[in-house]
Amino acid sequence: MVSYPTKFWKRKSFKLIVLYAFKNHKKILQVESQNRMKCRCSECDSEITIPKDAVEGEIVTCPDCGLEFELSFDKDGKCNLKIAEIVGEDWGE
Amino acid sequence: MKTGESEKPSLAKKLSIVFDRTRWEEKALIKAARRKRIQTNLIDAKNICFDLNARYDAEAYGDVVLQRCISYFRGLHITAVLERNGLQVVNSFDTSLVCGNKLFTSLALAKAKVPTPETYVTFTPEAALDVLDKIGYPAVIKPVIGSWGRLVSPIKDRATAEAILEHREQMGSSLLQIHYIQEMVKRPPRDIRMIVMGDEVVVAIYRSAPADTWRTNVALGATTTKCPITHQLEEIALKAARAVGGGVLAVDSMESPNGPVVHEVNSTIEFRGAAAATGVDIAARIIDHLLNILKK
Repeated sequence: MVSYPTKFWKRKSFKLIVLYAFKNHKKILQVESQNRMKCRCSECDSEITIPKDAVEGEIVTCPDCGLEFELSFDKDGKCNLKIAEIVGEDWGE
Repeated sequence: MKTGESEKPSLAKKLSIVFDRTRWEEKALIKAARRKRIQTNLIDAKNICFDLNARYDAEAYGDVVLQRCISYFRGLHITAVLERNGLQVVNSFDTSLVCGNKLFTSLALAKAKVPTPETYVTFTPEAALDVLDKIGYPAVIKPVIGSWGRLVSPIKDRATAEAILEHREQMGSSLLQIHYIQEMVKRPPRDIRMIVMGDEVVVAIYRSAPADTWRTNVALGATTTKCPITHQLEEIALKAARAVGGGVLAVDSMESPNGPVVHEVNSTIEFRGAAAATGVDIAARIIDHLLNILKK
């Protein structure tokens, strides 16, 4: 009967995964950053990272100048930023 | 059904959410509808173009439309068109119209004998000063349309009243020439918000004003804690909700020395604070409420 180590970090498969992640961490991080969409601020040209779970109509803020944009996606799934409407006197609940 | 528990798949039902800004609440509603496997059509109000001679049916707008526009007038007018086409909108045009205007809300509450703060309306600064002199200071002046505590001002003395009324005249908005004046209710530094859906009070929370401020709007930094739903509060909340036409509503009340008084009923409710304070999945409860409407 083959006996396996009880602790998961002692298993060979786990060690192989860790080794793969260590060797390829740059590539993995690059893929991760490519998955996140980026847009440019129309005011100050800073890069704005769009959160992965962002949805149409959500407000994103430029990290540098603080301008607020409304997020939309075109047919190809590419993100577009439009300067958000300012608070109107009839806004609220 | 327990809060947050998913229902049987109901793919045949279609829900539309009309929005113009995706707040935390809209994201929660979309997630809740998806969890319950409701086909959800998201309609950005800013892209809508209605042909008033055309017909819009459930095929395009779903079996029920949830109106979530942050702009009161935009939402109200869209609801008018959709209801004219025979579509079911939550909240209805009548409810939205009344709740969006503090004067109309006060009239509806008074008619239904719901306790409210002493309230006066005048249409000139002179008449406003006369009534303020009569009821005494401090008092509160509010815009009839508006939210998040915007331009809600305490009037501590006649000089402040004169200054505020002058500012209102100069601001140019016709709505600000309607002076909605209320007694300053002697209350603890908090109010009570009750979320009502149909004939049920789902949650109640205290909204406590931040230090050194008096307004209790979450948008202004108020903190929220769970409030027990007493029989008295439940009765008042349901009465107020019925008075404005019913639906998914947030009834705001203050603890006056003579018992709770209702000062506002909100129609496009924000519930992030209430969800955090109570742990109730309010978005899921709203979707359940819509499904119940469809079953009727």
